[in-house]
Amino acid sequence: MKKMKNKINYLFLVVLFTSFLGCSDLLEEVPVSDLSVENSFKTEADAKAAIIGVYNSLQLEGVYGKSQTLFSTDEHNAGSKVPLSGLNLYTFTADNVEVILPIWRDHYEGINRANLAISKIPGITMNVDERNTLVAEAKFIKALLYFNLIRYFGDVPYKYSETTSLNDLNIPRTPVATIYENMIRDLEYCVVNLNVKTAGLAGHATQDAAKTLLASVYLTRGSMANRDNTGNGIADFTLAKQYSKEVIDANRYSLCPYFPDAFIVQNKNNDEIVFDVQFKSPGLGVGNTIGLNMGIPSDASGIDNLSAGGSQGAIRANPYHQYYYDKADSVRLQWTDARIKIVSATGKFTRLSAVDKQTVSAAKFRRYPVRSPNFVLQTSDYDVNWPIFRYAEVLLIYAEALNETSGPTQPAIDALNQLRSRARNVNREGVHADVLPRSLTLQKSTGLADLTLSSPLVSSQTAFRNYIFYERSRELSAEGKRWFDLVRWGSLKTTLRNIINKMSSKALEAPVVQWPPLPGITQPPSTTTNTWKKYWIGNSDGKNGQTEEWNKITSNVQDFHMLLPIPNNERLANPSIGPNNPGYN
Amino acid sequence: MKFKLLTIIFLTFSISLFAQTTIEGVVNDAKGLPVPGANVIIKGTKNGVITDFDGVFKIKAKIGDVLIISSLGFDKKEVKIQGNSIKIVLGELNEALNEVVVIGYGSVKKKDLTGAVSSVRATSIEKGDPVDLQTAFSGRVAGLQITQNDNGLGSGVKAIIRGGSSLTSGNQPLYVIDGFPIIPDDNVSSNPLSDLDPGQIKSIEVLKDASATAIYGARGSNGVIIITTKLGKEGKPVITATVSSGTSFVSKFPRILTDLEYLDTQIIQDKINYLNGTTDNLSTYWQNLKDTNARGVDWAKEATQLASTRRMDLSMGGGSKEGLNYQISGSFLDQEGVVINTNFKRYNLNSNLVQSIGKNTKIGTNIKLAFSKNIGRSLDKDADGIFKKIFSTNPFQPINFQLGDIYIDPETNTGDNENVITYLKEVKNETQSTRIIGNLFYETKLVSNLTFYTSYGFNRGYINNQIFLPSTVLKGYRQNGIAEFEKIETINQVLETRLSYKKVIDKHNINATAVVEFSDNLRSIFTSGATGFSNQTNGFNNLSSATIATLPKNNIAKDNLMSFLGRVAYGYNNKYLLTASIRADGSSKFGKENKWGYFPSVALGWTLSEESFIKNMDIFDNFKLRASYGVTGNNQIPAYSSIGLFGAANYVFNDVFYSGIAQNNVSNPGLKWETTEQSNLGVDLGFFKNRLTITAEAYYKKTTDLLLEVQLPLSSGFETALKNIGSFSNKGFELTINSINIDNSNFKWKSDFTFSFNRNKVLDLGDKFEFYFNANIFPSKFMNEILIRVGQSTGIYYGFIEDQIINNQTEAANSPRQVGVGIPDINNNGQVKIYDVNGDGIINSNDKVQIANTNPDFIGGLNNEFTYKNFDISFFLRFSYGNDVINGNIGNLDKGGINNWNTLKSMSDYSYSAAYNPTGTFHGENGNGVYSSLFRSAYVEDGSFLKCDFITLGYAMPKSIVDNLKLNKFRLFARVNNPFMLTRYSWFDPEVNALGGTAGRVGGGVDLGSYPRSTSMTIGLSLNF
Repeated sequence: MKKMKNKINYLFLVVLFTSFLGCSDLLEEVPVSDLSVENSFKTEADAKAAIIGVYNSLQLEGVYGKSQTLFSTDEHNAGSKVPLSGLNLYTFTADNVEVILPIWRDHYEGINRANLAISKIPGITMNVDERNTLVAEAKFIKALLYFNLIRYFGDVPYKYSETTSLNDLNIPRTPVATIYENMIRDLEYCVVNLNVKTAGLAGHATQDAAKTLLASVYLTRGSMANRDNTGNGIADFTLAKQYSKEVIDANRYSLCPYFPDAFIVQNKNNDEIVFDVQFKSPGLGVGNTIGLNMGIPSDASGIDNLSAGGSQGAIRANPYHQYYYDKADSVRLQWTDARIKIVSATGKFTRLSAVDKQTVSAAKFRRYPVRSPNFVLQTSDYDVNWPIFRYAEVLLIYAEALNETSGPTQPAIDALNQLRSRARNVNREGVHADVLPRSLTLQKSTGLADLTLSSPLVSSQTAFRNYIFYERSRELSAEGKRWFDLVRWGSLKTTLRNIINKMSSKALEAPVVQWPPLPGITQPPSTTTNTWKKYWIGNSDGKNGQTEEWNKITSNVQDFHMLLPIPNNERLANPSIGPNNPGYN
Repeated sequence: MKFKLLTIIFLTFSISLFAQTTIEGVVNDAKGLPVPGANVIIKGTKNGVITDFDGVFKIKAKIGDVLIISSLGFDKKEVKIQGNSIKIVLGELNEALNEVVVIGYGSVKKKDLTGAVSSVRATSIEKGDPVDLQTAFSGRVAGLQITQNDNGLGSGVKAIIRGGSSLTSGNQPLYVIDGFPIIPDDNVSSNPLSDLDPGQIKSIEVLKDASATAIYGARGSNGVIIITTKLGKEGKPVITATVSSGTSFVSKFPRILTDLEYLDTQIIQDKINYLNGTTDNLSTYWQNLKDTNARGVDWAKEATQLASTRRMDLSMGGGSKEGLNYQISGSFLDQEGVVINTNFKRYNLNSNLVQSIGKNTKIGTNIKLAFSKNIGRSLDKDADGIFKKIFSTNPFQPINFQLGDIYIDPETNTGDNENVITYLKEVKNETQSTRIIGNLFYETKLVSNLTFYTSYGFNRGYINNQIFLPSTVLKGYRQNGIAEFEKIETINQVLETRLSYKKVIDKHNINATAVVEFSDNLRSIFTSGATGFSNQTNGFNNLSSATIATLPKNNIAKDNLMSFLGRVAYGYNNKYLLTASIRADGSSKFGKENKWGYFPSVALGWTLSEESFIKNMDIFDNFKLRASYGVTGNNQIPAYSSIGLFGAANYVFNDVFYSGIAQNNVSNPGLKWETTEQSNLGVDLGFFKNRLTITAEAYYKKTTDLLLEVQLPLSSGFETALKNIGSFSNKGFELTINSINIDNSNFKWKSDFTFSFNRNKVLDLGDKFEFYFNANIFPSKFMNEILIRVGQSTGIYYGFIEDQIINNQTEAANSPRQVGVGIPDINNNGQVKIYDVNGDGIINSNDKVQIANTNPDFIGGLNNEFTYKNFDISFFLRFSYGNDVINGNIGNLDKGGINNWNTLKSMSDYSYSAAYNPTGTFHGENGNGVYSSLFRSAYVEDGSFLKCDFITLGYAMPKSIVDNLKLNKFRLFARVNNPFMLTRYSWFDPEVNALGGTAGRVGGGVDLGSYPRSTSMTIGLSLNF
């Protein structure tokens, strides 16, 4: 018995001793399932995973995941049932947590990811060219995010490197001019080190994407110099022209022959896309809500609205926006401001009357298939890609920069005629079942005519500038460009205020929209002046008309709204940020 | 050889002289009542018997032998046999003082205790025969507040001792179950206590002050609850069987409008909406229904049921001196819920074995297995929770309506058109939990007074949550059925080695302990799911019919804790007591710079009743003063909190999915535990031969280096970081009174009373003055309801004060506009008016004021046990005063006019009462289809209560019957659980906490989709043989 007891004693002592060997190691933490900053950035695979994480920031809610196109412009506004704390009515404050806070937060999250990649990847042993390309991709995203930030907020803290500790986080605002310099330096690195476009690289930033972004950056800086009377911006417009022309001349992009094909989910990664945010569904966590917010409404209520393939119509096309289009420009009009709804029972479309109470959606990114037996509704998991730069915009940038430097010229007109020519193509192959049937082909006779130097639209630099102002909206509507355009031209307030005047005058006369005959579609009822009036002005008590909301928007919007307020959360946590933008507490 | 011979001679001699005869005896107590079940052993042998029901025993012994008589609750007595029959009178043990109290890494006699420790004994718990352990000690320990998730089956609780010590980090105590330390998950529904069989608990000790808890170092600051299970005693095997069966029903339903009241309201309300010019006049529809005497559905009645509960416990225990002591048990619980299709089953198997090897060595093992299956547990506890919808559903929807039917008839639609009965019947929601807690120990006396003890134990928990939402319910409708899976696995291992030294030299009493302990914890979570089911018949069991998979995710966290600790207790002359302890803890969870923490404590006790000047007063049987001070820590933060961890951040290139990474948090190498300093003053008093004992404690706790989620400048790329910042205090008072009021031969009345209050205060929040938190009552609408602010307590809710209803357009025009607070600045008929606190004519966040405090002013409990002859009656009362409850359930029920939701009767009455609403405007949606989405005083209710937890009536069968059945004991009992509750709270139960995480700690007291409280009647019998 005694022996056994001793044995047991020894056994326990041995167990005890071995278990305490290497005590100090036991308290070191090595994560089991996740990587950490300390144990990552050692291999090429680590570098690539980090770059995927940098791209992922484009999908964040406040970057391009959800909050784009929510600011009211002449194109569209968020419906009044989606008030988003005053976002639609220009009563938002620095307290806005629905949209403005996510924009700030998520852009900086992406910037930090990019900074981490930029500082850590060069230390990894791998092919130098590939390594430089990865660093360039991070720099491209960082530049894109800062380009958004300075256009939203003006001077913002510029982060040269990633956050490594909890100390020294209070960073003051950096002047926009400095940020421009850093962005341009990063993008010049990108132009050299990014890959050249190939089919397999879809979704990656390329040399052409960097050049397009540079052109857009120079165009914006030039416009803003004009706006603020701080210069004529000619140097910037020249560079914008140069970079956009390089993209055009490289001849790696082309417009989709049929306008809707540039957007539909079946035609992802087409030759018109210079750079976009890529999504995929379902069930992977890399989808978006674009189809939920923008799309075609249906006549069903409640859940069947969405099940029928419809959207919540949160982003509505303004009724006035349709007047931007020539009556021959019906393909772009009807694809963009879709005056149609889905009949839930049949899954087919019917056209809204011109003054239907139903929401007119900004339906450029409508969902497919509608009401098919295989349709599985994923409300927040739609996989249409979100374009950041289409080739169409490269042409627009080129034309605008050229006009700013040299006035109306044939090359600028030629560039824009490509867009007009494409808008004439209707239903090229009869593929899609939509309100735009494809049995028709090129409508040369009834479609948009090409511009010529003798056209009054191009009669002067100012007239041409005005044409481009509207052409950008016709071509790029609902792509998150308009608010930035109105801001860089300095015409946010005037444009919005003009709408109410124009709409009210329209209320006195019958609307001018003419619907081209389309087979198989119920024709809209004719609209009388009275029904239009009722639609616009509302009941006898002035309620429930469109004017009620637009009166608010136009009386609220001010010049200071060309910058957003810095969110209170940042100001509370970072005393160095200083006072808010003018107009906000 | 000589000796052998001598032995034989002696033996022969003794046989002739002291031949063994049968000695018959009776054991009585001081009052002459028989003491059944007493152990009678002949000293120096293993021969022993147990007294029968009449206290009678027969034993073969010799004249001159010494009998040792012992029985629980009595002083041990040694009696020399002088004749063939013997009468023994046992003196009642000075229970309060000689009781052994389990403390950290040892035990101590209550009289030697210097810390604040409360004990709950099995005998007291068993009276209520609770189905779960968690509620068993609620109200029985002063200073312990039990907050339950809700009344759902197998629902978890949170135990908060002395208000907790942390503001935003974990606030739950450390549980030590048979020596095995477990910190429960923050997720209150997976509490290890839910897996224990309450019938097998011997005692629960609650360690409250730093003198008691500092020995647990970095895990001790929230207090410690030590649970000890039963072990068989020396003697014949004792088999106990308890069987009971009961029926439960919903105690109380919230008062909503009946179908007929609803019709009347709809008729009136529609007219008002019509006046606002917003809806088509539907009142003819409702009028027609009324005219045809149509009756609606009572959804609450349809969704609930009379539920049955069955329970069976079987155990066997026994042992022999220097042999094997054992206790094995099994139990089964089958509990139906009062909501249809909810059910809880639990199976337990326990074995507790201790083998003595020689006089000085023991080896033992203790294994507890538990398996439970809970159907319907995780029914959504959120703003759209199913138990809310039961009440808001339009009574005039047909009972069998389906999703998608309703838009055809807009008159009868309700909100989102979920049929709650379909939901309850067709959603498959199952949680299975398996847990094994096992340990093995070895104990030996190395030399006299010095004992070596070592043990290895592990705790393995496995929880499997599965849910299937078919396309007949809203969530599954859009996606053709959704299956979700969550598997949580925890493995904790602890290796402990202990040396303890006990010595009495003269008047000096020394008790020292030194321990080395190492533990590692692994926790792994795996989630996955699938949608698009082509065949939904078998739900989540038929994944092969799913068409779309949700990307699976896992998360594994591992941490280690290494500790060295020591304690010395010294007593002089039974008067002066000193206890000092220190623990060093190294935790992997903390930053590189702060891996090790040191936690000392010291306590003094002075037993005045041993002093002659007090003895001479002849008032006090016990009078002890205690004072303690110590430092404890809290390491309840997730593993890897101090390092910059990456999370998944995936992307798509060319329509191909790629997985990537992004940094989730900034590394913080300085991160460490929270430190709590606690001072405690206590007094123990005993009067009337300790029939009346009083313990009073006062304490002050200050926690510094709080682990706060600090908001970072967002420009850093991060939102928050865990930092050691700020301080927080708790102070309070606790009173425990135990009294034997009446003690006659036939009638006995015993009472236990506890009372306590705690006040906490935020002292410092670093460079901030205040922090806001979201309670997530209505995530899209209410924000920042909870406020912690320097100088104030926790549990404070900030919101708007609800004024009267806007009655007409003039009033609408003159009412303050609501700007920048989440809704369009429009006032209209029927809308709630908000009180303009600062009188500036607009309602904005400056008009928010404190509208609720969820901390009670005081809490307590009163237990009463009566025994009259063979009958026993006991009941238990519990109370809480001064706490507010945020009733998030009324969210849809307070706004008639939207989606034909039903309305609370009180809200309807209020809408029409002349004082608030002279023109009878209905309280509801305003003319622009918008309802006030502000968090306001209407959601706050008084949560004070007085509850009776149970009334039990027992009858012990008389001896004649018991003997005939060859039993030791045969007791019949009948019990009512939750017979009554006095409260002004309108919903099921004011004791509720739907909030988890930080919001639950800094706010708490929110009722959201809670499960109904039930009253149950149980009968059963308990056999002992």
